[in-house]
Amino acid sequence: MDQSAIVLEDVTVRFGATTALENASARLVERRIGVIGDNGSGKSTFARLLNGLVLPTQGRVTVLGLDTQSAGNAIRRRVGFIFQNPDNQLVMPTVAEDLDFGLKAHDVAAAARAAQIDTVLARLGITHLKERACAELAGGEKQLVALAGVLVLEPSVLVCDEPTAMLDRRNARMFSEILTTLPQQVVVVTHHTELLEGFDRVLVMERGRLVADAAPAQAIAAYVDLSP
Amino acid sequence: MTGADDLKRLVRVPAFAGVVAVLGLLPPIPVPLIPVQISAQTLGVMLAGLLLGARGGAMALFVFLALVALGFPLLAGGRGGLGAFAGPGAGFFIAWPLAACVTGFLAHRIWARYTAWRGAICAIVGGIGAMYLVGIPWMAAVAHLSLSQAALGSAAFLPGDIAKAILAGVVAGLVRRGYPAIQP
Amino acid sequence: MMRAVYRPGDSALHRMPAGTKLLSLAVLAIWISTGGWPAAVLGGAIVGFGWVLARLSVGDAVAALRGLVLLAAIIFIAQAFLTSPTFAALIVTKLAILVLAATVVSMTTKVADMLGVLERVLAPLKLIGASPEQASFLIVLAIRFMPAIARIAGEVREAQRARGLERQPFAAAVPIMIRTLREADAVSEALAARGWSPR
Repeated sequence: MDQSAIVLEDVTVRFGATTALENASARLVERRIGVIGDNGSGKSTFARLLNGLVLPTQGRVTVLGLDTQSAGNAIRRRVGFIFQNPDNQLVMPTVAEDLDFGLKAHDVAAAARAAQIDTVLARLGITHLKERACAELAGGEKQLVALAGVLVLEPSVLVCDEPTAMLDRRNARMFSEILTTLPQQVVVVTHHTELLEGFDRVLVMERGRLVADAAPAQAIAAYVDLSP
Repeated sequence: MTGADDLKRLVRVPAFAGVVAVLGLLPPIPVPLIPVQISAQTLGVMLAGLLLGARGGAMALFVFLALVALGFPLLAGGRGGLGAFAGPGAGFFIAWPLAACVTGFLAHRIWARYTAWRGAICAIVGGIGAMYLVGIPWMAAVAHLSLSQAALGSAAFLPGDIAKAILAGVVAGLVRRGYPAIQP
Repeated sequence: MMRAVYRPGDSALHRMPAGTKLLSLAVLAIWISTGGWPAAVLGGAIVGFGWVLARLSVGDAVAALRGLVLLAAIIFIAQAFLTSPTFAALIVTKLAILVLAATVVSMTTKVADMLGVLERVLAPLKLIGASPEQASFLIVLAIRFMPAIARIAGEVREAQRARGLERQPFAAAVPIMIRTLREADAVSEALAARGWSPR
């Protein structure tokens, strides 16, 4: 079994009568992977498959050798997920409480929690936000706090679903610069093609199918060709 | 995926507690001639029952009452803290978990054949029924009135409460069609 | 963020453990509500002493009693008519003292400390399989939802005004409920993504 990669084997996902993803197969080992496609192309479903938020109707998804069907909780510890809207991701009232909450859910001891929170905030340069109320943060700050909430759990893989869709250009650029510095494997689902600069590999999706899989330049060209 | 569904049901509980709180922030509607104000909060109570069911609705209103008891001024008119529970009218809102529970129990039984009117009847029987069942004896005990005297005094709220029950029935029906994932 | 009725301070009442305050309040409430004039006068004196000790003002007392005025007036008139003006005065006085007693406790106790007492009170629920940690989690989550729902309500009302629908009661209620549900479901997805599950 492949221990170091994300593997999709002939995966189909249906929600009731609609098919969100059809016969997708891929083996993702690169450090920076992009997934692009229009709204409704199935790219959000693709992202959610990678940490078990969505389970395949047919086929199999394994991450780091674990099957998402049977090892959901173990996978969610190893695969961090960033959502489009950080408002939904931030659960607790203040930044420190929110980060602490995630650690508590993973049974990290109290003493270790405080140190890990300080480390991750310092690393993202947002120590000054520690005691702020999440609801009162600006959009860019919120997305950084959401990222901190995921990184504090020390995942091996980070999956981002349209992470910059709610951000202005300056904040989007800042966010993508931070992404490039992370040691983790990162999968970014987006339709902001500029976010994929310097990525190793880009998949293109259309109507629930993987239609292209190449280096960023070729894949983005293929995506642009799809648009009428 | 029952785990995910359980989690969704659980997280809707504090969300509806929040809805009831936010409805309390809306300015209450003064009623001509009678010295009571109609707040939108009981609408939230009925909707919690109709949309979350007996268990979820009751939990949502317990969470709301806990927030009030902890000191948040969330009752209509900005009342909150333990002082609110000492008033003669407190029985009416202390009954909210029960009201949402009974409304939800009834709504669950008619969910497959839901119409706005059936929903309104659930909210009248469950919501208004439970509130008056607790609120009137509470008022009678605190104010040393007889039950019939307390009931007479509470009758002023009845037209407004019935209007809210009908509104709740209609709104729940529209939400049910607009967000099919919901089920009490 | 939502402001509680708590008033920061460092009086003896502020420093008293929340559990002690709540227990004293319960005893005082039972004593006053079952007693006659002696209990009302003595209880009133105790509450008044607490009020001064906590450095609360006359204005605070007026604000605390404002919600009671209308109902108390109706009760006073009814009781004066049905029994006697003295009895009517006793009932209304007792009501006011109870409200003030409970208000002193809320105004001198932090929400976090109240939550601590609530968790201890709910601890026996473990015996029937319920979880007090889950209860306090739901309370914190509700506090988190309130600003988001208030924002949703504001946005929806603005959008409906733009369409000239502000006098249509369903026009605002339905999208507010649907967006709140969608937000709640997105939060539960985010919780699942962070490996949290109800226990």
